[in-house]
Amino acid sequence: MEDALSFERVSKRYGSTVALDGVSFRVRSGSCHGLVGPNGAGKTTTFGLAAGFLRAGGGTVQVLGREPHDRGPSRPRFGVLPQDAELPGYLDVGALLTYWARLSGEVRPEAAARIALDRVQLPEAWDASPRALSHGMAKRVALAQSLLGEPALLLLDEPTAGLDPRAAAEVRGLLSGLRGERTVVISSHNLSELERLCDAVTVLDHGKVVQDGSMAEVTRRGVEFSIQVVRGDVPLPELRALSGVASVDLSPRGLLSLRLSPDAPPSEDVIAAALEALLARGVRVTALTQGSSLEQRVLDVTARP
Amino acid sequence: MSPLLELWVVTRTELRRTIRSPRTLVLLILFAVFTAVTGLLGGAITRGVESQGPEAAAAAGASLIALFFGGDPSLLAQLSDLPLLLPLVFGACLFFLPLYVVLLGYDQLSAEVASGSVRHLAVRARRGSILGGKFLAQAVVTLTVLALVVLALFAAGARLRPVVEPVGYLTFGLRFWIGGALLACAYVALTSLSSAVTASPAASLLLNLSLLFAFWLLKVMAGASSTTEVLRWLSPLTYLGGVFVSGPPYATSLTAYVCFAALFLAGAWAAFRIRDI
Repeated sequence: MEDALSFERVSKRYGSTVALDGVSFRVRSGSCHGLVGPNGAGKTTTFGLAAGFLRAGGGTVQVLGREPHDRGPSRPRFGVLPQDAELPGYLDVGALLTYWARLSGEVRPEAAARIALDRVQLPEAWDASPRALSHGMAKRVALAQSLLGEPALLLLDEPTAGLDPRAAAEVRGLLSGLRGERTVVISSHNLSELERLCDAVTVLDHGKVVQDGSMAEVTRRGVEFSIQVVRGDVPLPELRALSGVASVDLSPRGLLSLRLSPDAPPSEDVIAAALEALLARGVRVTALTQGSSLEQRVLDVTARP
Repeated sequence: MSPLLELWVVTRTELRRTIRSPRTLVLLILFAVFTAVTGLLGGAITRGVESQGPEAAAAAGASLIALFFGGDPSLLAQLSDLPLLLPLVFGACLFFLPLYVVLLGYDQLSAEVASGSVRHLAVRARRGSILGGKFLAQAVVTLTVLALVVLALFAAGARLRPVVEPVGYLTFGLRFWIGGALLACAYVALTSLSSAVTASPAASLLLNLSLLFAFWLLKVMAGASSTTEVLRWLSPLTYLGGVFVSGPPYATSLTAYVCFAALFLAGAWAAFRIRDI
């Protein structure tokens, strides 16, 4: 399957500051891909390069198999929600979206603009001035513009930043609905949100890729799991002797971590055996988690010395 | 979307934006007031000169024209057909037009780059269309203002000196407008260039005004010495006088303004095409 987005040894500098240093990753067509990392990691620069707003100092960026700057007749059809880009105030929201829809090649630009505004559940903003919108409403209008022109790829930089919980949940619902329909690349500091939405993730730190893979690989789902125990005598030797278990650790707070060996049987079987062993010894189990949370993984791989 | 259609869509919206802008309205009023005041002053001077009798009036008119536009005999001969008011007021308008152009459009690109709003546009339109659309919208507004000034002036001129044939006034008016229009396009392109290479409205305003001052300095200072005299041809101001006469000086001025406009626009496009936004 063709990659919707690919970065090959891409570098970018701002004066003497290195923003990206040999970044390589690929986004599969039809997937939802997360781009994460601490502030200054290079996420927004990566988005800027993918959208054609910035020029790479080296390496190759391909968007839907074409140069990201290509705006010719066979240009890649992608939508962008740029971070912190203001909506221009010279037209009302409806006129602005119609203008952008026309430029996006929509045959019925006004109808397309109304549909896009409906999708972000803000039809009442049609006649409003962008300057009169709250931050959350402006963000949703910006999201609406990214949907114009039926883009095959959506690049969304912090789509829920600054939104209240209800609006953020609505946007997440919208993004969930887009899964499979088109390729979505999301940058966000809300890692639990990304963990729920994305199939794959790239972790950036100091302008370099420090982790890249499917969400299951990055969070080690199926490779390790944790069991929260509250009482009883944990049979550590018995657990270590289970088939497919490579290592077992018990934290002072009662978090039991089991890591599986590469040749382990299916993780469900190992989990069942481990739980059976614990319950047989009268150990109370309160929670079971497969893998680490994305947040924990990002903290691990971007840990400061 | 074809490049031309895209350019048209951007131009139309930018034109709508420019016309609806309160700043445009304020500048229009200021320009109209300035033209009216200059016209009144020009009218007073004309009446004063003409009250001295035909010969004295001709001599005084020639002195004034020489003072403002240089002592070129062909220029004096051609402009003597017109009421003195017309070249005086139109010359003053053209002299201050670059400032009007700067204030109208200094932030056409830089403000959108600074706020990031240009990204919404750049993701779906060629940068050449964005630049071209903004340039064309500013040029259309400026050229319309100039046409209104020419119309008002020549209507006043026809009342002042009805002995000149209406066709003569029409020819002069059209010539003045075409010359002024190309001059205006060169300065609108300079404003586009200033706005395309800077990242904030304040920086583009400063750069644009500095360039205007540099052109004025180039014309004045370079002409002061024979060794540097050739440099004055690099200033658009040098070609201002040619707008008022027919023949080779007029053609030279038009060619120069077309070249300046093309050069500034090409520079703006080259800078905007590759810059980070």
